[in-house]
Amino acid sequence: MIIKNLQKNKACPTKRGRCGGFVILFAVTLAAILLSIALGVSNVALREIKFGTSAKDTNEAFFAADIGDECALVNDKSTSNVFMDSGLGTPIQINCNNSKIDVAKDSGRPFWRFNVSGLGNGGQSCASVTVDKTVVDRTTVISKGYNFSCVSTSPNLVEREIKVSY
Amino acid sequence: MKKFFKQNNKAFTLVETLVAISIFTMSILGLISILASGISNTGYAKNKMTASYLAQEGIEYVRNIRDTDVISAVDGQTGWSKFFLDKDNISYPVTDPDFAGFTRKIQINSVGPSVDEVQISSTVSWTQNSGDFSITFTENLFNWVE
Repeated sequence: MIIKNLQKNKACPTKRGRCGGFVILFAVTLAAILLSIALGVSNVALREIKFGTSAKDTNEAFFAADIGDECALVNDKSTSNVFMDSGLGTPIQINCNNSKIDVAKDSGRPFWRFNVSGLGNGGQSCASVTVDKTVVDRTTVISKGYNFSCVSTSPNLVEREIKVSY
Repeated sequence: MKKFFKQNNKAFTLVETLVAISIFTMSILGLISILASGISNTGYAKNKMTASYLAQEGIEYVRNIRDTDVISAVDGQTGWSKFFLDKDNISYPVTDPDFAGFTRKIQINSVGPSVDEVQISSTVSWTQNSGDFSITFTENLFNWVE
């Protein structure tokens, strides 16, 4: 009698008298929900790690820019006076970070460019510096620091720029 | 064949339940392992951020000493010379509560034979569940004061 009643009150009475698939449907649904939660959590964790790494890269790039900037300043002192407009395109060499650096001068105008490489903790960072004296009695040093090489095309490349005018 | 399945389909509920339990168990285990690694990674990211700020502060601390020496001396060159000579004897007080769990080491080294350039290296290291970690920033300071 009880069995008959149970059979009558089945949740999904079918013509064939069999009602299956609910348990596995619930299990798969629950599994999907749980795994989507897990995916969300791991996505947040991944983003946080990327954020932490970008903070490190930012500092590497900024310190590289600062080194390039100070390197230009020390070579522009009256005692060094490297960036002097002689009108000639003669090659100049400066010494920064214990390495000799070639300075390229634009022909016909007082504008110099040089790169300081091998910076940062792993020696990977680089600074690209320009010294602009095209305006009379005005010097503008623009130093762009990178966490990788100056010619890197890495998608994780970070650039920080320092501009000094005096 | 059809007849066979029609006659013996009562054990299907058991098989179905076992499969469902195994799927559910696997998803729970997956969730737990991903949550554990997610929490660990979040902790690592937090410590890395703190360490990078502390390492940056170390560089700024030395820069501040250089600037103070240069500004307070009778002239810039005297100030730089004082900084250059004292560079091995600078003490770095660590009183900030943020340092709990972190250690910082600051080194100031000469760069080649040059007396107009020093290299600062600030390393912050910490230990967490998955091992020892450290972060290092380096910066060069120059004697560019006239």
